Amino acid sequence: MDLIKQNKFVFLDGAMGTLLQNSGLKLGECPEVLSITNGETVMDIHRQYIQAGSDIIYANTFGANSLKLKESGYTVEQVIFASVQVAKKACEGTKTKVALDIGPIGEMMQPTGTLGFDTAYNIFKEMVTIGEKAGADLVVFETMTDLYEVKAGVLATKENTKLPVFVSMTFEQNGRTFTGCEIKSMAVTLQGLGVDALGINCSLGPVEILPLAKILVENTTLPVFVKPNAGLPNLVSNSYDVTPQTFATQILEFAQIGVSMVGGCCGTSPEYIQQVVKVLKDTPVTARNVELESSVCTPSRYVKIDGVKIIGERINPTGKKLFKKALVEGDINYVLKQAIQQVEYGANILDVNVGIPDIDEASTMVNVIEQIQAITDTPLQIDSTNADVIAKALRIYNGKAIVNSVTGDIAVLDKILPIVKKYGAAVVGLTLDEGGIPELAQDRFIIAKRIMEKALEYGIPKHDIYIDCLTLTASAQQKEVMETLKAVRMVKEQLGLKTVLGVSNISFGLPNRELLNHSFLLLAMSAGLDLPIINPNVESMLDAVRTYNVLTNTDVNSAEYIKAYRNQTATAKIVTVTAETLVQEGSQPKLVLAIKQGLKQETILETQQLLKTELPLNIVNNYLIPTLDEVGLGFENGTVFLPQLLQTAMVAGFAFDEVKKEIAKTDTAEVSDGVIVLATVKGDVHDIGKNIAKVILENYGYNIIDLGKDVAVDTIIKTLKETGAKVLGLSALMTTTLKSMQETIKAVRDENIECKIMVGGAVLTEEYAIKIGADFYARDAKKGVDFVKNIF
Amino acid sequence: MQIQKPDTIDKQKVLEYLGFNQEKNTLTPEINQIIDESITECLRVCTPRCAVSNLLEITVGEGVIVENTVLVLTGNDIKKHLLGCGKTVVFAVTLGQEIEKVLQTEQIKNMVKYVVLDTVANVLTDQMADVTETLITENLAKQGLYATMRYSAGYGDLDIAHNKAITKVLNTEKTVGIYANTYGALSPRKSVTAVIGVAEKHVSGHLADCNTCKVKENCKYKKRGITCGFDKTK
Repeated sequence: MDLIKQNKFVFLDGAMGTLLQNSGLKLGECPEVLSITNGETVMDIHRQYIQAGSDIIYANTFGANSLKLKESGYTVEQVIFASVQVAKKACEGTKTKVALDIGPIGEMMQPTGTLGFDTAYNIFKEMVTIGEKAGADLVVFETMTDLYEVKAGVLATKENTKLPVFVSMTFEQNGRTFTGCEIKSMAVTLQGLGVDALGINCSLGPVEILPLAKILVENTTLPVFVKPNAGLPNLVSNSYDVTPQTFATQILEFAQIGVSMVGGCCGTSPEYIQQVVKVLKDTPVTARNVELESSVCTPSRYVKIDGVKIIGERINPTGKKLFKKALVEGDINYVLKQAIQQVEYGANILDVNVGIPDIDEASTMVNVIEQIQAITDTPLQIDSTNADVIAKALRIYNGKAIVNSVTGDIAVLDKILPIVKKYGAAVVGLTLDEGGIPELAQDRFIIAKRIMEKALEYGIPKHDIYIDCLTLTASAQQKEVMETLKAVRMVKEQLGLKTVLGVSNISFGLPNRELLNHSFLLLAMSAGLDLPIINPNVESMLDAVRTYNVLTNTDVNSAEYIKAYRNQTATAKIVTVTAETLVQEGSQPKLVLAIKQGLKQETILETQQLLKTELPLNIVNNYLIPTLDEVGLGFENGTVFLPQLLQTAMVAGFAFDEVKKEIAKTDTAEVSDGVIVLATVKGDVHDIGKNIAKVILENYGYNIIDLGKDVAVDTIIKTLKETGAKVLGLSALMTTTLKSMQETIKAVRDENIECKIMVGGAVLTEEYAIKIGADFYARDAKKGVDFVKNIF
Repeated sequence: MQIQKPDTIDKQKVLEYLGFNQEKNTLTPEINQIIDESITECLRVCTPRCAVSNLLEITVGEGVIVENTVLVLTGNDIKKHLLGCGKTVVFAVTLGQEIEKVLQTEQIKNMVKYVVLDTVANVLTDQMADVTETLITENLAKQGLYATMRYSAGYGDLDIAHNKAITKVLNTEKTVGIYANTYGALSPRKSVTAVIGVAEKHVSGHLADCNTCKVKENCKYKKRGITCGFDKTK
């Protein structure tokens, strides 16, 4: 919009809610309804702001969404139309623009809460399409704390209207929102999504917002706006103490750092805006020279690509039997464990590849990404060449991701790059095309240049283009190894792009792969490699990266290096102290004792020993199950308490893993005894009971499909049909969600699905369980096992 | 507003919540260490915050109407609790969202740690509610007013769905980052809301007793002939 392109300050308005509160609104009531019931009051406030000098006023639509208006007696359409009309009427005869104001929906997004991304998108879509029809000039999302919710809103606006979008989020003094989002992550994610201006509002006064605004202006090239509160709230009087004059003086400092739009939030009034206009109207907007850096992020973790950053390669089924099996069976925990382990070892970014035949790659990718981002804030690299998979993955990714990859084939570039641009991701270009991988560095460089030019054409900035010059196997193409490194250097020096290489490929087919990988990595880094894709679980690879970052002065003061190695001797000592010692009791087998005593290493070793002489299934039936039964009985009669029960289960799990590995090797019969679907019902986020049941059941060899918490009835029905599971376990903690449990059971019965249903949860009783149609009330995990044993 | 974190989290309470029975169970060094680590980690990760209302007038009719707000408290138990009170203070406490992600990760990594840390977080939530309650009560005392103990949605027959209105009245989504969903479930999960009765003369309040408690059928304390501490009638 033209207004923000001029080299002059744009004045926003001040508080609306605070002023409406004074006009007889009940606490907790929707102030948006007043646009219908008391339009004059709303219009009067707008007029006062316009008179004070506001160039943009926010319509009274902050909470006018279908969720918050549900009990108000009015529809979203009625409220938004009335609110925008009132604002427009107030603007008549002036140049003041009207913004459709949108605040948080009012429910927390998944995975912490129960609001789904698509639901949020649709709620926002309804608001913005109505807002545009009603005549709003732009859309402002404000007071947002969840970047994921903002993403849903921005996409809803950009895909359904032609209106410009502004976004302002609200931060605490530590520079994070309540959901942990940091300013840099906000800046790069939203600039990538194509919003028109970024800002900070509410929570703090001008003094406290100033340092935060500094970070924002340094990390975006977009216009920046602020709407601070009138200081921090006075806890005694519950009011704000900064006067309009002081507020205006404090706001002046924002002009100096390059903020170009200002207004006020809680505690401010037209008088504040008037003072701000008075102080700032003749001040020129300070020009900003921002050079954006290469980076990826999730809301709470911003990773700048300076020095060498590690991309973990382990989430990839290629050549891994167990991984493939896990994907086919939907065993998401297997994948999540790989994610956690790599992060703990030091991966800065995780590559995610789920491409195997026999599964729907797009839905699996979406599921895996959603689950990974629920447990770690490490940024992800989406590893697929399928446009549909990439688009779906980028849509639900929370932050700024990397797409791995495109080739130099023009058809591929034309298909994938628009998607990368739309979602503001970074992209890896492989230096190959229809003609294959060129042997010579010069030819690979030409492809890299072609990819760069095409990406720039599509509006992808240079700092978001990474090039992979492709590692060739030394055993097969020895003389081209150096060509790869030469190409890396050329891309880095002549094009100024970041570079990526899958390192481990170098050693394929040769002995002592680790040594070769390590040496090649050192050479590649020295040639200019920024992002090695490696297995971070291999210590020597990490060593190489850490030392390189010290020697090239990118790990300033060797901080990361010291953090990684300072405890090395101390750690060794601790290991000696806590070394596991098996206490021999009677004549029980060592494996049984090891499990009962919770000794992980001993359990693994003993299982491996036994596997040499016994059949895998015998180990399950003769050692594991009896041990679990014994401990379970102890739990039942109170001699074993919950953490002990779980410790046994966990350690037995390691034994099971060994057994499974053995079975995978020989492709013989499955360990699994039957399929059980578990879910915490719709609306409920309390899943600890379900998770405990899962661990215990898993250890009896059942194949558990865990649908998680807040699970829709449809998902449960679909899974039961697809898997033919004989048992469904449902949990609910709250009295209000027992209704969901009842509805789920009814739906399963109505569909005539043949499966037994067991239910559990603190407020359930046996009587109630039967009443709502369940087959069994599982008071605890042990009881669940007893029930299931009778079925399979 | 943020609340100061305590120096430690009540380990006895943690053990009790985990179902530890002094006479029957042994606390292994491993589990003891996990509890200690969880306490340290929980304190490191959490950012406790609270939102407290002003003094609000109440009228007892069909339900307890909190004047000038959207909140009406329904149920017999809350009526009993607020007997003799003309006013109320409503508050909410949360440990914040950070602990959620840690718990999610532990659920994959280490189930024992997950369950212990979850319990530790529950105990800290209670402790933070205690701290807030004390602050409110002391503040009221300075004004010569008396307060009942806190009473939360979900106690007795006070439906947990009240969380929706309570979070609205406190504007918690903006002030402390607590949201209630359609069913009244709070996010972040380690959050509580509560109501305190306020009167000009001494009131004791009447907390829900075991007979009206939602978990009376399954209560592990009741089975052992003791109470969870909320039933002051025993």
